[in-house]
Order: sequence, then structure tokens, then C-alpha cells
Amino acid sequence: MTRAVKIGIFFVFCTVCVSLYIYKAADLFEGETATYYALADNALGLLRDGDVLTSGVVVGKLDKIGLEKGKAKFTLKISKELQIYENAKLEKVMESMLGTYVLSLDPGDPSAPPLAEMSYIRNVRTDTGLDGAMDKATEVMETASRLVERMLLQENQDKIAKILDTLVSATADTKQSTENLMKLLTETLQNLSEVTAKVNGRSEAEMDKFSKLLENALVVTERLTQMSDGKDEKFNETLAMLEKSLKTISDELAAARGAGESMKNIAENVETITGKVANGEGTVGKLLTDEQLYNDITKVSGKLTDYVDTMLGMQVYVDTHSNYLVRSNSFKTFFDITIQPRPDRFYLLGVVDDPRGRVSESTTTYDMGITGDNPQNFVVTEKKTVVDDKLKFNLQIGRVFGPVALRGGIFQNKAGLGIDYNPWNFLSVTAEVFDFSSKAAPNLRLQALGRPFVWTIEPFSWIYLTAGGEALINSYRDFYFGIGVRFNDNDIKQLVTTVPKP
Amino acid sequence: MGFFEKIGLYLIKLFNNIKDFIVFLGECFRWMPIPPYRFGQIAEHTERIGLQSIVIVAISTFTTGMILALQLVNIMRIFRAEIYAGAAVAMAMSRELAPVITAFVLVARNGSSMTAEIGSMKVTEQIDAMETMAVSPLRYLVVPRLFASVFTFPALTAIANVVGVYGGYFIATKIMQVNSEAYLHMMYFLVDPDDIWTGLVKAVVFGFLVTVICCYHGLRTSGGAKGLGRRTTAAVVQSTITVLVADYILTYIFINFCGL
Repeated sequence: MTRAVKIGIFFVFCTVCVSLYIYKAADLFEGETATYYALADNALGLLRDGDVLTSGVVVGKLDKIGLEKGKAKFTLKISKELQIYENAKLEKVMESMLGTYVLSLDPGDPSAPPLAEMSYIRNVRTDTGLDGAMDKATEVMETASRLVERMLLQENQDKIAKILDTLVSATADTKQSTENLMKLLTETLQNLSEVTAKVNGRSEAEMDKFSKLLENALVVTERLTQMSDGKDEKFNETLAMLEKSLKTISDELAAARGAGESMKNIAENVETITGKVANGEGTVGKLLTDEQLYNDITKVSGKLTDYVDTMLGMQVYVDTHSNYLVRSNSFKTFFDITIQPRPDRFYLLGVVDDPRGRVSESTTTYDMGITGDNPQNFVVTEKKTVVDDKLKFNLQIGRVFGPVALRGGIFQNKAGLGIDYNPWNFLSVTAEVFDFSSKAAPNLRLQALGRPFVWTIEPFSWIYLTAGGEALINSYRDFYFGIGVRFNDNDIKQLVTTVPKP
Repeated sequence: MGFFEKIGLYLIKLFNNIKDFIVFLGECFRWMPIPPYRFGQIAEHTERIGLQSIVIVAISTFTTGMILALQLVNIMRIFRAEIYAGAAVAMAMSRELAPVITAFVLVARNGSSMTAEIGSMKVTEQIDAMETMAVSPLRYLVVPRLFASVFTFPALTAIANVVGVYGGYFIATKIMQVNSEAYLHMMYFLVDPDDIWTGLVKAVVFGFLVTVICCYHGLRTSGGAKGLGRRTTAAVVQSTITVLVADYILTYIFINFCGL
């Protein structure tokens, strides 16, 4: 193994080790976030980058802890997936007995309007946890102490003794009343139980018999009426009442039996329907039992969700910057549009006005018309290199892994690869290598990008500065510095929503 | 010679040495960006400082991580908080121990050899011969070593970080029976990328300082084998102390000015 290979393996191994470690330690919170603020009385125990939880699930980070108007100011980065309302509540909750805390966020409910980004969450509680409990305990102890002091006074002791006597007597009365009531209740329940047992014990056949008995009684009363033939008025009245009562009882019984029949029919129908559904018959049955249909619906709804997410979450960045190349004393200008359908991927389209865009070499030989022994005097050869300005194109696809973005595609009309590292908002580092087809070494470009106004308001926050070198391992290497603007354009975003997602 | 004269002469010598070192440092800064970069020599020193030191650096930091975990788990167990030992080990390793231990190991292993190698060239007048041939010894002997150190110190520190953390993890979870998931969770939760970055930046500074000091002593060697031995000892002692002082200054800057 050559020395170069050993060194190469060594550095790659070290880079992979530290990158993985940093990636794991970065504790990346996936997804787009919105910024909210909160003012609290006490930030003790809270850590920067600590979790913000909703129902125990991490929904964001405590980005910064500062001071505003003598209070602790929290800057929260909360996932955009969580809708927060103006009645949201933020609470400091204890994470461990060591005195570390996290923030618990109740996002509120739709009865209040949604809370705009960069707004303050008004309802903040920080007197929770061990400190809060201790404060409450101290308060209770103080009150109890005062109470005991008052109770120890002679006049209060007499009053308490009287109250206790009354209480003892009242308790005895109450006990007697309760016992009587319990006895009565027990008897009532026993009677009820017996009646229920009797009713439950009656079979269908007995009910039929009872029904028949009533019908017979009805017939007998009719006949008795006919037999009496209206001779005795009192007897007739009694018979009429008896007949009426029996008829009423008979009708009620028939109605009850009819109701039972209806219930039976309904139960049978329900059983038939559920059986059909279970067997996959009919539309509802198919919907519930056809696995293919279920899979298709799931797939369609997933794609629909994906599409909606893409449309809503798409970001379009417009970037233009110009670099002054020190050695060639010229300007190189870039115009890029970055389409980011998801936080973890993006597509870059761009145009580059490159002062070294077209390099042509020509060799011209002139015959000087001189004769003699030395043939070198006969001709003059002139070699001419012409460098022209030319527009070049960028077309790249990129994936984002936390603070690292990997890019591949066309870099200034040539295939290449790039890596961006954004450890902080105000600084990023870029390395690109492209143009592997040329006879010389590939074009290696290293760039540092600083955003000195990132904390200020727009449009100043769009401005950034660049410095770096290109073609660093070629003979025509050059160093540059420049300035540019990069902003998120919502107008273009609306236009590109109709472009199909690649 | 009177007492005050002795003090005066000592101070004059001290100031002259400091001035000489600052001039040497300035020369190093001056020659570093100027090509040619002598990649062959840089590669040779990278192999010697970096590749051949991996094992000793790994053993040193692995055992350090183990010892740290052993102590911390026992202490944290009193508070039922042994899962925090992982975070403590990782933060201590990434911020302080990995760069400092790596620097100490490299001072002992490579710094002394740098001084001895350049010093023996000096006492055998090879350096004078180079100067006679208009070859700058600083550019030829020191600059490639500086480049190699500036690249390899952070690389070895990165390995030291990972190995040290694994040493702690091994002892805490396999021997002390700490829950591995909780241990790792708290470690990744509390360790920040900035902790790792600060350690790597320190390693770059340590690499530069150690090499400059060791090469400086090598180039100023005089007095034969005895002088060479004296210079080598001085180089190792001064490098070690410089690493500790620089560590304090860098930590102070990171905490107070960078908020890291």
C-alpha cells in the first residue's frame, strides 16, 4: 500500500468518524419550524436547545434564552406541523430530580385565532416542578402555623370543645338514622329481587296460558252479560267494567307480544346484514373486506397527502451573486433558482457568466522568406490563447442531511459533485469538484459564505458575502471575493406549484 | 557578578529568547502560504505523525474514557443519575481531554523526535550547509512539518473523541450495567456539535504551537550531544505547558467571546 493510499484512508476515516459523531450529536429536529417567543419569570434549569414537548412528544427546540424587560425571553422553534393558537400555554416542567427542566407546550384550541409566527405566547408558567411544590408547601405550612396559633387561644378552645360535643351527638343520631334507612332499603331490595325472579321465571307457555285464561274470562263475562239481559243494573255495570278491564289487559298483552316479535325481526335483519358485510357482499362489504381496494385507497390518500404537503411546503429561493476574481481581474456572476419541495431535498437551476467560459488556442506559422543553413530562421510560429466570456448552466439535485447538503449534477456545463456545510445561520462552507473530462486536474472550488446581516430585517438579511478559490489544483487557479443576495420568493413559488414533482 | 546583575542578565536573555521566538513564528507564518508546498515531505510527516500514532492515541483515550466513566458512574449513582455519565464523558472528551491528551501523546512521540532530528542536523552542520546552498531550512524542514501537524492533530483528535466515548460507553453499559439506550440518549442530547468543533479547533492550534516550539528548539541547538539533549527536554516541557496554557486561553475565548 502506497503512502498516498494510507494517508487517504486515514483522513477519510477521521472525517467519517467526526461527521457521524457531529451528525448524531446535532440532535437535529426534522422539518420546517416557525419561531415564537415567550417571556417568563424564571428560566432556571432550562438548557439552550432543550426540547419543547406537546403531550410528551418533541415538537420543537428552545433555540435561545435571553433577557427582555427584566424577564427571561425564550425563542422557540416549533414544528410548522403543529398549529398553535393564541390561547396556547407554555409551562416549565421538571425533567429529572437533578433540576433540569423542559418546556411543555399546550398548543391551544381553535376557539382562539391561530398565533402568527414571531409572536409571543402569552400564557407562560414557570413556577412548576420542585420549586413550585416547595413554594406551595411553604405557603401551606405558614397557614397551618397561623391556624394552630389561633386555636391555642382559651376562647377558641372552649368554642372548639362545644363544636366537638355537638358533632359527637349529631354523629350518634346520624348513625341511628342511617341504620334504619339501610334496613328499609335492604327489605325493599329483597322484595324487588323476589318479584323480578318471579317475572323472569315465567315461560312463554305460561304467558300463552295466561293470555288464553284472559280470553276465556272475556267470553264468560260476555255470556254473563247476555244472560243477565239488563235486569240488574248493578250487576250489569260490574260485568261491563270487568269486560272492559279484561279487554284492556288482553290488548296490552297482545301489544307486548307484538313488540317482542318486532324486536326479534329487527335482530334477524341486523344479523343478516352483518353476515353479508362480513362475507364481503355489497358495496359496504367490499369496502371493508377487499384488501386490494383498501390498499388502493391508502395509496391514493398517501399520494394526495404527499402532493398537498409538497405544494404547501415548497420553498423557492432566488440567488444572485457576483465574485471578483483577483488574478484574472474579472467578475463572475451567478443567478440560481433553488426549488425545495421538501426540507430534505432541493433542485438548483442556474446561469453563470464565466469570464473563462471559452478558452481557444490557435497556432499560426509565418514563413519569413529567409534562406540559409539554420532552418529555424525560415518560419515563425505564433501560439495564441483567447479567453472569452461565456454563459454556462447549472442543473443540480441535492439532498440535505442536517447541516450538510450533498449536490450532484451539472456544474458550469460539466458533471460534478458538491457539499455544503451550514453549521450556523451566519456561515456556510462549500466544496465543489467538477469538470473531470478535461486533461488537467478537475476544477476544485472552495468557498466560505458569510451572512453578516442575518439577524437584521429584510432585505438586509438577504445579503451575503463570499470568499474562496476556484480551480485550486489547476495552473489557472484564482481567488475571489464577492457579494450576493438570496431570498425566498413566494410569487415564483406559486408559479412553480403547477410543475410536476420530479 | 552581583545579584542584580544576574537578574538583569537573565531577563535580557529571556527577552532575547522571546524576541527570537516571535521572529521565528513570524517567519513560519510568512513561509507557510508561499508555494511550492513540498507535498512529498508533507505526506511523509503526515504518515509519521498521524498514521503511526493512531494506536497509541487510541489506547490513551480509550483508557481515559474508561476511567472517566468508572468514576462518574459511581458518583452519579449516588443521585440515581448514572445515565448522565455518558454526556459528562463525551463533553469532557470532546472539549478538553481528546485534544489535550492527543497533543501530549504527540509531543512525547513526535515533538521530541522533531527537535532531535533537526537538532542533530544542526550540530552536524547540515543546516549550515543548506543555508550555504541558499535553501531556507525553515521552509524546507519546518513548513512541511507544520502543515502535517495542522492536518493530523485534529484528525487524531477526532479519532480520540470517538474512541474515548466508546471506552466510556463500554465500561458504563457492559461493566457498570447502565441502561445503554438512556446513556446514549442523554449523551447525544447534551453534547452539541459546537463541543466537538471547539475540540478540533484547539487541536489545530496545539498542532501548530507544538511543531513551532519543537522545530524552534531543534534549529537553535548548539553544544553537541549534550546541547541536543537539553534542547529536546526543553522542547517537550515547553510544548506541554504551552498546550495547557493555550487550552485555558482558547476555552476562555470560546466561552466568553463565542458563547460556545
